[in-house]
Amino acid sequence: MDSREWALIAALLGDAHPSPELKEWLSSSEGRRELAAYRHTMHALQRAYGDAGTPSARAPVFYTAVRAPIGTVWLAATRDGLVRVSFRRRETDFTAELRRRLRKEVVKSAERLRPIAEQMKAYFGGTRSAFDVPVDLSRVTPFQRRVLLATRAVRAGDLASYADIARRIGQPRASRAVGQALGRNPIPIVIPCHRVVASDGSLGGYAGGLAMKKKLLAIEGALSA
Amino acid sequence: MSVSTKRLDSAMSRAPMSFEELVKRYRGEMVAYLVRLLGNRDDAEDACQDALLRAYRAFGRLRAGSNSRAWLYRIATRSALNVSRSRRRRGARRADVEPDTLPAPPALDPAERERRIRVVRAVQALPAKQRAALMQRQFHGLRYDEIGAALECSAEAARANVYHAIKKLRAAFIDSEDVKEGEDAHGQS
Repeated sequence: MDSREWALIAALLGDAHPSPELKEWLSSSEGRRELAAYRHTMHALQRAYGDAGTPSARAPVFYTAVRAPIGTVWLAATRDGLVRVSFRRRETDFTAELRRRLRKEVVKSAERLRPIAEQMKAYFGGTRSAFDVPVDLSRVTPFQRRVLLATRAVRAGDLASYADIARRIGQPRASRAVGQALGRNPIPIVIPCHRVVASDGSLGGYAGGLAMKKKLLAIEGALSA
Repeated sequence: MSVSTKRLDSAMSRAPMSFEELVKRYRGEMVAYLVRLLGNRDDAEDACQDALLRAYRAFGRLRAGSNSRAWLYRIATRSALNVSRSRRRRGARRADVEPDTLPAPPALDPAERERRIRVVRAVQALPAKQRAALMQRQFHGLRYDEIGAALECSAEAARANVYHAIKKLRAAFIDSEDVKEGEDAHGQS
């Protein structure tokens, strides 16, 4: 590294004041370009790493409802992404659970949930088969997160077995634990645990009830209704 | 140098901290550091478990008045290297970055998410020591002598590691990224 670059980085980090020579160089077109490139680098770092490991404790959780053929679907998102999908529940039960589990203020807002709500409507309308929204899995265990992320990759119209998911996360003997982790999926439908069935071809279980699992698979064409 | 180290540590050396207090005070910070170092939360939590176990075993040998924070960073960094090494040995597919386990919360805007994935890839491509020094300096506010203590090198070497990391990232970002602000992209030095 040449001494000018060294001095530039030192000044940028606040390790040293810029010398008169550095200041002069920084006013040249090459110097300006370099300074802009380094600033850009530091900003990109800050954006990607600034909030690491610091879940936004005070920011509220927002929720909304979507009307669907399976009844009302409740959606909730933190600043970080979709955090809950729930159906066959009363609004007050849903919000009470959010408050209790997330320890956050709960605020109804169709606006905040608009992207996912629209995708959900399109999904039930048959014009969309996959969701493109960030999910907030910061409250599940690392194992469950691996299971859920592997399950997210099972596409509409396909089925996977519990053993398939266990293999995909590199723990082939963990099918039973996979089943349990999926039973506690906080974001059903978007993380399609309904596409995961038993190895013998039977449907396995579903936290929302087997009839619901059948209905969702029928919507996706993986199962005749 | 030793004077300011003492001042910073005085709060801790006033009364010897129990291991529980140490964990309570620094665990959150350790996880954040490991997330930054390893590039994803799952590995970070595994490494943190490992680090706390090692710290617990070695706690009796931590001298009163020594810098327990830098000591924890040293242990955490070693654990991180072990975790990433064992992942590689097991051939786990960690080569790619999963958007949902990125260090920073996933951005809602897909273009911003893509940008962050590129940044994390470039950071993960840095030599481990440079990456560790960079994160300690930039996000955890460690001084160069503390970084040196954590990485088992001199303060000057720690500083050089930070600077080289930034220089490499600058080259990588400018290579891969749209430089929109009217800058051109041939910035090799």
